[in-house]
Amino acid sequence: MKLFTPVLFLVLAGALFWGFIDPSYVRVKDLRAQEAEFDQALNRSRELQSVRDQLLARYNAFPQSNLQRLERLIPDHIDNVRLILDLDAMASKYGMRVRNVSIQADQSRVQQGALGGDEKPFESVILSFTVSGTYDTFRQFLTDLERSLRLVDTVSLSFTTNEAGLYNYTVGIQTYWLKP
Amino acid sequence: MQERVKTSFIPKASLKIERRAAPKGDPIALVNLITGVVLLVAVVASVGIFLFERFTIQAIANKEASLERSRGAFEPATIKELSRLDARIEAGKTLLAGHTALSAVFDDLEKRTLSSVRFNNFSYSIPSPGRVVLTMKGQATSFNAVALQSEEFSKSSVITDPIFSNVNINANGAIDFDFTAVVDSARTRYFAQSAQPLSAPDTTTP
Repeated sequence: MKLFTPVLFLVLAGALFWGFIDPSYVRVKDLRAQEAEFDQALNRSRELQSVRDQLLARYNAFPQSNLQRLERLIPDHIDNVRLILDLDAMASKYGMRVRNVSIQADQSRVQQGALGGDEKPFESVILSFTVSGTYDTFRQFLTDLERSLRLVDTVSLSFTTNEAGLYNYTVGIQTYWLKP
Repeated sequence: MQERVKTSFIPKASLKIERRAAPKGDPIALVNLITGVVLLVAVVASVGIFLFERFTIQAIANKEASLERSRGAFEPATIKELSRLDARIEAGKTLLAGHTALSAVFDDLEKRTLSSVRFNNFSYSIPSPGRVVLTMKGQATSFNAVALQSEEFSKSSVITDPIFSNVNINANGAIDFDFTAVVDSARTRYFAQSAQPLSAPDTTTP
């Protein structure tokens, strides 16, 4: 009978340990790990916020006109109708008209036998058209084309001379736009 | 004779010192004490861990709310705009680095074509990536002119591997020939010949 009290104490202590303390300790360990993850995320968030602020400051320092020029350099969409209109306007400066416009997909990756996703941040298309004019006029048009704000690369060109001096030029240009 | 009464208070026998043994600790009490302490520690630990768990849960809730606020402060639309601008700048750099100027080919042709030679057909194409081919048909006043023209083209850094073929005298006595060459695309880069890449007037839109 004298041992009743210590045995009771031990049983209560054991019950507290295995029934409450130990499971709680396991839960607290998980919670601490979770808290550490939140701490890490908060630290990263603070770092990112600092980077974002720096980038935003730089972005705001860009003149709006330059941003617009960048958008014209590589637009968000192919915008081929606008491109044709612009080409025609450019040719009109030299008394030429853009004719026989056709569009074909860029096959360079297929030719290279490339597999998998295209990692380039832009898409491209080849636009072919015909213009007629003298050699000197066409040279000026070609120079304008090379220096145009919307980036185009001449990928093909053919023409045949004649006695009249007015030639038909078949031009293929590659133009680009930013992937969505 | 009457026996004398012995009235001495002094006991004859020496007094026995009855020393009680020092009371030894009660083992039961000790066990009670120890188990009591164990129970007390268990109770204190239970309360402590309970409070700590509540505290941790509250701290996590606060941090989660703080993280949510930070996420909101990022303004996803702004981040998307910045990311898009970055992609546009990088794409622009890549494309401008490879931007070609066909004028360089014509400049070189004009510079190197002899007065005794003329071309009447021109074709420029890129049959495979990185390989730019130039094909022309022409006429020369003599075989010697063709030979000189070939020598002149061999000096060019833009027009490489010049090949003259199908060299024949036509009905007019002139020399017809076909010409094929490979254009060195590194020499026709836009930046290689122009110091003002984007100064091109906005009027020349596209």
